Amino acid sequence: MLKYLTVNNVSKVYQAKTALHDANLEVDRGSFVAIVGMSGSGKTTLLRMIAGLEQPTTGEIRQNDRQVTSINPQARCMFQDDRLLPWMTVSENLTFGAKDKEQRARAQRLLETMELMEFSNYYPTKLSGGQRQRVALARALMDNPELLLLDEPLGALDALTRLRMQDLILKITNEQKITTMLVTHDVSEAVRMANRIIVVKNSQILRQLDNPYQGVDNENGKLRRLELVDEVLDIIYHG
Amino acid sequence: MDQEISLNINQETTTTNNVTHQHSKRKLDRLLPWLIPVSLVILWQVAVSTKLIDSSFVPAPSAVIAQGVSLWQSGELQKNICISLFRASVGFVIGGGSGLVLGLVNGLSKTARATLDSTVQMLRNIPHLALIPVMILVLGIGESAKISLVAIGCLFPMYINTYHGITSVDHGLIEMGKSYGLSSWALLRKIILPSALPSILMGVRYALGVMWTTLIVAETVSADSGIGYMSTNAQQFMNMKTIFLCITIYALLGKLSDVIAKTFEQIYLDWRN
Repeated sequence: MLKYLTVNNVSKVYQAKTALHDANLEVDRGSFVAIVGMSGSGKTTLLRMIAGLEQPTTGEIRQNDRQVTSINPQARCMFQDDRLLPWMTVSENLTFGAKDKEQRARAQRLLETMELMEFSNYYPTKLSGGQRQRVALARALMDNPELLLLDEPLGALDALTRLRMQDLILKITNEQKITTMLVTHDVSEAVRMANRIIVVKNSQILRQLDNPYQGVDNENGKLRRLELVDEVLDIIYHG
Repeated sequence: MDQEISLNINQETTTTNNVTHQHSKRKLDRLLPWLIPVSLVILWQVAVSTKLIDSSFVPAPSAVIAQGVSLWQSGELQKNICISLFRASVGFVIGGGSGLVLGLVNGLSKTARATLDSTVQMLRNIPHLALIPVMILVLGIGESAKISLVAIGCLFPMYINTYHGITSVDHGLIEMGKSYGLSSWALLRKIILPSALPSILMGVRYALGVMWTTLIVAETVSADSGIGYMSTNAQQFMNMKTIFLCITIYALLGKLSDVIAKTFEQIYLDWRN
């Protein structure tokens, strides 16, 4: 069966430094994949290549059986720094200032979902870190993306806001059946959110693990997830 | 019930007091910038009136105002102000506009930057007032020489600030715009220009300052009209009232430029407040 996204023998070399070596990956449509690893292991490089922000030195990335050769129009990124435009209001950030009625209506609906309606006319500088990331998430969802690429978007948030954002992302991606790839160095976040964990170490994909306990909220599910966190940490530290 | 009414009255009184307090604070904030200039004028008037300062060298502010009224009534003052304003604004538009375009082109295009930037930097380091003799020889003492000098003076502050603004745009924002499918034109309009605007407006502010300095010098050296000419002409007749009037007008025009620059900032950079 044809996979939604495939990464075939992809390597990325910056000058003399190898950021990613011979990566192979297959992603099913609608799945939630987490890429974990230590800083500098190559996980962000992989995500950036899937987004089309960078091109592989060798190998190819295919989405819907079409090679990704430039900015990926079906993907939307959310970065660790929210990258909101400070001169635009919250709703303008979603539409990039477009006056189109339909777009503005969609922006309003998304702000409602994110519980940000009252901040619609605020400038981003007036918002908290969590609110800003919710705006960034709403912006990423504006064009109904098929693929959502999250590059440590919750890294700078406090623990409680982080949990709330995790729930919000899970709810939306499940409801809208968006294929999601999350880069994170927080293994427990990866295990809580994803149904597939990719472990990257020393510029290589080391292991790929299925997580059947994602979303299983009974005692057994929680226990199994904790065991999986230990297993992933063990792979990261000891290979 | 009585207690409730009393409580409401107390709350209303507090609210009214707060509003009155804020109103007076705003009034004070508006008046504060004028405190030093007005005090200096009063001191000046007192010093001349009490003969602490010789009025034949430094006339009293009242005498300067009277001279202004007299020149206004004769029509000479408005004629000279108008011609100076014309030279300043045309020079600013030509020089500032060229600086803006050059800054945009060099900021956006690596090829243009490699070709033009070092030449512009070399020219920038020549004091533009040193070009007065060349301007007079090449363009004569007509309007074009003075306007050209103002334009050259305004070009570089606008260029430097525009160029700096464009090249300092957060790369992450541009990347975000690209990944969200914005076209090059949309990137320029929605991300690059708004991001560079604070720096560009700083250039406008500097250029406006340079505009007046250059005009004063240009009109003092070679002119038969304008505020600078009025001042030089008055110097030949030891007419101190007119000289001080010209200095005051320059100060007021400088203040006007500052108000214009601030207004632009308030309109276009309100998101920073």
